[in-house]
Amino acid sequence: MIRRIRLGLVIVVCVVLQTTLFTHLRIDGVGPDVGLVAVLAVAYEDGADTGAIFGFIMGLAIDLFLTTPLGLSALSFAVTGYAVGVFQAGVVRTTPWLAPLLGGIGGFFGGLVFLTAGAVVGQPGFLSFDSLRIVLIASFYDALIAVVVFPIVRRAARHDDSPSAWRVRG
Amino acid sequence: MVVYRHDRRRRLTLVLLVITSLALISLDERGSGLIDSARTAAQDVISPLQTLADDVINPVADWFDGLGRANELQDQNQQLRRQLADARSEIAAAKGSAARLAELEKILDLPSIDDSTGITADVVSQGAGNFTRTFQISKGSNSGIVKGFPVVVGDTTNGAALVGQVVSVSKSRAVVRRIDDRNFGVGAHLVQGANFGPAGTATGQPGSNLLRFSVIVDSATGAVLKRGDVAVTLGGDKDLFPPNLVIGSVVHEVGAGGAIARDAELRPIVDLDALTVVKVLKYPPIP
Repeated sequence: MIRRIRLGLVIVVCVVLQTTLFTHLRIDGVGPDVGLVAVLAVAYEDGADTGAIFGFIMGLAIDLFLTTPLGLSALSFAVTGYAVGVFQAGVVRTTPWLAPLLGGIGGFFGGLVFLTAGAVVGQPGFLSFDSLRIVLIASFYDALIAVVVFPIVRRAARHDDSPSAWRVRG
Repeated sequence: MVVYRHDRRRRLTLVLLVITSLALISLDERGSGLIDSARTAAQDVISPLQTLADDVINPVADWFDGLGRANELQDQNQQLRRQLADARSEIAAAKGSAARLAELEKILDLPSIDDSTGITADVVSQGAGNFTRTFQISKGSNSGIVKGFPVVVGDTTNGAALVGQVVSVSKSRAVVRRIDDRNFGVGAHLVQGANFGPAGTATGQPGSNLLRFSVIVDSATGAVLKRGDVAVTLGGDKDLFPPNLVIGSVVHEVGAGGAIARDAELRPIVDLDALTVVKVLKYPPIP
């Protein structure tokens, strides 16, 4: 229950950061997908099922603040969360580069899913070189912020009975 | 066997989520009121947190912005002073024709921007999405703003520039789609000298800050589009925008594929990335 509250807070914080701080911190007019990076961290921590469900809810929350159709980010975040969860099952050991690597590759994959789904539902100009440029810059940015976002979100996603979960000493 | 079942359940979860997403996209594309209400409710809940975050972030961001652009701002200041002097003389010259235009509009009973009352609002931030061009303003439905209202800068009596249209509203904030967004479109015609030139549509383009003006050709003769021609809104009884709002000026012609029809690219009159204060027009006028 407490874990769900923590994950709910992660969603609220990501929405606020995406709609305030990262509207100022843009690289060539492109901002990161802080919500997507959080989804990657949750999927890596807890697998494909949780990754897909958390991705869907996070995407839906972000969609409420965008003018693209509601459900587009939900779809791309859910698929990306699922894919990272499946990948995580095959990982034997982790490296310090895992967070930026997963942030970059996951961000790129999520961006491509977003563009493809957007183009399929008739969003103009989604299948263009400019859109690809935006996805590339955004995924580079995702890799950078993943270094900070991953440890925080993975900790929030840990099960309460896990040995390294946050505990109140009694 | 257990692993197989678990895999199947995982895939089923994903399939259900994908189907739900597609259903939501389809609903939103059809303009569901339910989704609009959900957006408004979510924005109402989050906007106090956004205001709090903006109060902390905006002064710091402005300070860094000013620090990095001190010399540029000084040059810009001098340039703006010169432009202001030029604009004052142009306004004086245009007053006569504006009065005449107002008289003619009254005779034809056309709705105009004089019929609407403007609501002044601060631009709080640029939009969060990478594939849309929007900005958020500091006023919402509590101030009488409604989805669809046009947003301008400048004085509506002496000529205002169109910068966007309200696309979603919460109680204390509203999201405005910029005119250079790929989903924006408006009926327009060019002003060539003292006369109106060809009519057409001005639409946003992906990957460019310029708008595309496409001429509606209803005759065999091609339209002549000149660099510097100004595009203004067409307006009319059923139009969402009042007439004569300045959209942009022609930068260059663009081939439209046909032998006669020609397109042009328009540069917005105002810098849409540097907006600080805008005016939301209550248009069409609410009786």
